[in-house]
Amino acid sequence: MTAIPATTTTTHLMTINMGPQHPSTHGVLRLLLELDGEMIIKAEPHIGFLHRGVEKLAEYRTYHQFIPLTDRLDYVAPFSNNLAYALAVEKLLGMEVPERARGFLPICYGWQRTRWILAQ
Amino acid sequence: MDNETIASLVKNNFPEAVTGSEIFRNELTLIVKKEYIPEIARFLKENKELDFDFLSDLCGVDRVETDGVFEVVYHLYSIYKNHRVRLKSPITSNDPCISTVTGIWNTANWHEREAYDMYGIKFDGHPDLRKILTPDDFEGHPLRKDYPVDGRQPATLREIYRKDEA
Amino acid sequence: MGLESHLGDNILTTTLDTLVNWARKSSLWPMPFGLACCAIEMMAAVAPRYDLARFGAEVFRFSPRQSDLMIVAGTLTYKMASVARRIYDQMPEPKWVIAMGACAISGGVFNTYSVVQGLDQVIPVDVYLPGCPPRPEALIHAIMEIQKKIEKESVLNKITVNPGDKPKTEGTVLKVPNTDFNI
Repeated sequence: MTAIPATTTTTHLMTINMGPQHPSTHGVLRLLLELDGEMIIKAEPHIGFLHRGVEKLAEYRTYHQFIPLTDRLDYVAPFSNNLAYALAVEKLLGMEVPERARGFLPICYGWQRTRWILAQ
Repeated sequence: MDNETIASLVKNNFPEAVTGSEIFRNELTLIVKKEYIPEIARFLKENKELDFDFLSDLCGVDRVETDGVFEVVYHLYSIYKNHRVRLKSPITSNDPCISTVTGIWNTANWHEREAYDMYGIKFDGHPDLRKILTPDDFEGHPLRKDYPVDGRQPATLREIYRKDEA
Repeated sequence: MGLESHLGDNILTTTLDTLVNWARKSSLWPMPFGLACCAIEMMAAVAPRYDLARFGAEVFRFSPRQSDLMIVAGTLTYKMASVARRIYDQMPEPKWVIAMGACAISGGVFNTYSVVQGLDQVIPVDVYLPGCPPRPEALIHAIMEIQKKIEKESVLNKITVNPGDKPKTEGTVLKVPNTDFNI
């Protein structure tokens, strides 16, 4: 009777698609994952599922008209987008902001940052 | 390091590459010829006094109507020294191409893919230059000024997805 | 359930209608297809303050196979359109769709090259919910409209499972209270 050959175990990497709609990825992100068991060996992200062409829209708006669009860029902490945009425009135009308005900024940014952290 | 020192350091090392520099609102911009971009980028990163180890942005600009060229803009920041510089490099608008800086700053990988997708700027030496934001069957480069803002491909999806319904 | 077609339109079928519709509308299990900013308002609607669980929508299944209401909240891009259609096709009958927010209804602010100008180019919509983003109370109103729609259904003219059949009802435009918008 021939001897039964010893089996060798081989590991294969499993490729799964963590698709654009998935509970844990808030928003849309597609990840192609190569897994060894539960360990992720390689992750290839695919983005662009929420590319809305905001830069193209901005070419047809005034500075003021673009502010609501900046709200919708990072919608978890929208005021920080407004802030960044307003600061950039003020710097470009060389505008002087009153002292009282400037004092309010760190409070707003801190509040937005807290919101963003809590949403994670 | 202040802006004048950075500008003079770069100009002294690459006199023929830097065609112009500007300081506007306390921000330094250097206009560089496109052939010298890899050398200048490597110099800016590896020089101990400049130490620009962070590429915060790389984008393209369509200046065909004003200057007749495209432009690739690099925003660099030094985390340790806390200074910034902006490099602008004009390139031709028909068949635009420039060398990649992916070997110097890895983040340039995706930024250059976006510049290719949006403007059609080809980056020589890029490891994986393909579309990143638009769908795979999208033709054209949307952020060019001659692309219409409401140009859609295809014009409507109703024929594809709802053709069986009344 | 083919028996009721033999029974005809009488008190037995209407009682059955009431029972079945009550069960369906009181246990709508939504599948949140949260894409963008409206997803935050949807999450706020599920949160304790504007509790959506009171309407039976306790179980926010992210799996289309186990849900019957698809809430598309956010901007639909061309890249995402095929995914939306696939998720809709994976849902078993009976199913309803809420297009939440201006972007899902008609593209919203984003009249650009990459945004689908309306979810109804891709899937049939039952209730359109305007707003940018709509308040959580508006989402509750939309769910109540879906419930009213479900109440009017009948087991006699049931949907068949063949794809390509006509959709059972037209979409109803939800009028946000106290506004004069005629969208």
